[in-house]
Amino acid sequence: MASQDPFDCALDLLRRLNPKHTGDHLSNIISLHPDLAEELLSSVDQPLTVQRCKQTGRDYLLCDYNRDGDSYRSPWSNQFDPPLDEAGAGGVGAGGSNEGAGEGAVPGERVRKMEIKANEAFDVYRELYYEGGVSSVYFWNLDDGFAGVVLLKKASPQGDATTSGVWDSIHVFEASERGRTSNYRLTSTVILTLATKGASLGEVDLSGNMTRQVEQDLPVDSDESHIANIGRLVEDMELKMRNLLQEVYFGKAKDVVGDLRSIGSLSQGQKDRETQRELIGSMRR
Amino acid sequence: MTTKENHEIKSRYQKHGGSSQMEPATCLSAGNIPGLGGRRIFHSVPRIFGVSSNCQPAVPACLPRGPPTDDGLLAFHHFACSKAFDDDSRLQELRLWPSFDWRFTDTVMSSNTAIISSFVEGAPPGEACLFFCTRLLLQPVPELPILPKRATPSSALDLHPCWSRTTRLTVRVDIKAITGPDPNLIKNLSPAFQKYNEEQFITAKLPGGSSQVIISEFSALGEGRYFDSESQSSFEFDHSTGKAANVQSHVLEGEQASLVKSTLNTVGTYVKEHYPNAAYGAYPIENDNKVAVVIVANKYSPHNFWNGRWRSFYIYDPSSNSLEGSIKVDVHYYEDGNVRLLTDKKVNASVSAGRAADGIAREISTAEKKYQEDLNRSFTQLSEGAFKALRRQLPVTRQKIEWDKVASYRLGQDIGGGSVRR
Repeated sequence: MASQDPFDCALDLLRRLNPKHTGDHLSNIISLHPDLAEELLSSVDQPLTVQRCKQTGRDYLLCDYNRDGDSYRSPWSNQFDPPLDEAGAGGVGAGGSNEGAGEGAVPGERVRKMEIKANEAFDVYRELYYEGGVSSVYFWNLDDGFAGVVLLKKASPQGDATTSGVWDSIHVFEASERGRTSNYRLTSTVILTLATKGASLGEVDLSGNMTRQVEQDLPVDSDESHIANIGRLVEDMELKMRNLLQEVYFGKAKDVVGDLRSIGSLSQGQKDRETQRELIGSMRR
Repeated sequence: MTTKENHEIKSRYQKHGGSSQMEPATCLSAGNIPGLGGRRIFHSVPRIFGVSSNCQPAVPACLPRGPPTDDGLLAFHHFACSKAFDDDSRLQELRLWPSFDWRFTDTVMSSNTAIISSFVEGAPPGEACLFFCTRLLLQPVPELPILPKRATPSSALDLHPCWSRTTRLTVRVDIKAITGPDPNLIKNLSPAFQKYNEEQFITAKLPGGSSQVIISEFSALGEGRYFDSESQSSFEFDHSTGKAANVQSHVLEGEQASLVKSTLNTVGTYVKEHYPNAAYGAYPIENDNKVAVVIVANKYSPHNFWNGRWRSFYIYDPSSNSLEGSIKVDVHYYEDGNVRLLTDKKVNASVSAGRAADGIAREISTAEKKYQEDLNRSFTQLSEGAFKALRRQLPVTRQKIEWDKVASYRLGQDIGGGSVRR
């Protein structure tokens, strides 16, 4: 708890400030402690941005993993938008880094094939669970396997003036291939914002994010089975997190409000308990 | 810029770590700044980073805050270099270039203060965000030993008397901000603390007393003093430590004094019936023309990673019998995440005939009961409505996906069409 690491301090702070404005807090912290910029920007999840693929007309999601400089790669066409300039326009950023997103921005041939399959599979998943929204999957090569991120975003339809909601799922995984099995490490974050207002209710805002991790060894006999394994891991994780979110957003919040203020009379409640105790006591005798 | 000046700046720059491959013409954005005898000064630090060919691009966190002012000085945001710079002593040197601006000190410190103030004001119930800010700011940075060198003004920096002064000043402030508690920071933050404490109805115990007194705009006397109607006393409140001191007698004598006292009784009875742990107060306000009622309940459970606060206030206007106020609930849950419930409900009621103190308590009781029921209902509605509409618990088939056959899902039904946006 009393960690002195500035990065941990920043995360501690971000866990306390209003999660609805994480982006603002993030840039504020970075201007207080610029050294943390890189680390924070790559590890703090923010709501995803949607972009239309110019080649296919389909929407895809933007994140650090499909970014190269100011360009983002569409999972549908494998093309960057704006297109990457070989000469490295601006001279900054292009061709410099070969780590993280730089190398990951374009997966190798085999991994790209899996990426295509994964995008198709999670498009089905998205339709079945979200009945709308946008999904994108990005893979990149690792020394002993590959890694990827599964992104899902759904916003409640605009036009509803009283209630709004946005769901962002970010599942980052690493698959280490060990012969017939593969070790998967999954870190999942869901960012969920819900707001409602009304004349008698006033304004209610429930915003936040939760992160959970899981690690599992699963058998692999083909590249298809990788997709199935990742699919199951993400599906199980989302089910778990959805239940957790439901519990925290609605159950826990309601309980805490109930702990702060009791709808019923406290003295009456006390009397009832005493009566009950006496009753139980008399029955024992 | 004359060749000599150009050379001077270049060599100065190189001496302090600039890459020799850089040409001043490209690496220094030379602005002709009025007020300094038309001397050209390099003032665009990100540009210096950007063209450096032997290093990774920096995080351009330093940007001029606007065009030069009339007296020809630029203000900078703080800036930094990326990690790639850390092993490179020359680049560490670049860290403080923006401090050329003598107002950098003020600007950066005041912008830091503004940021930390926003953190303080946005703190969730039961948590002192300043604690984390302070720890964040107090981290020593590896290149600290180099900093004192920058404090020595050199001829190139003596373009204007204030510049050398500034350099020293800034270094001192920077070192302080980085290495040890800065007494000014706390001092500068006091408006934020005050705002937070008054808005959040922070409670304190009077020395020797046991009951809670509430800090609010309604109980403020000015100059850091507040009063409590129940104990008929006033006290000094330290906004940064949260401690009350210097208690004096504060007897209510005005027109509303008796209404305040009877309202304390009626509201007190109500509060005890519905709040396991709350503080409340009633205060004459607006030149003794109205009465304010404040209720605040806190429940902190940091070991279980959640805290909550209910606060409400009402203003009774005897001339119109109107009761106006608001209820705000703030719940924070932060176990492996950060979830926040923030609500705001305006209350408008009218106190009917009869004893005003009874009417006030009755209206508050009615409004708060109804609000809590409405809020509980809204949890259910959000859960059953918006939340469900975002993501189903299971597909319509009520079965999990058969991932081995997922490719055939597409063949059977044109399921993927949904992602092509209209």
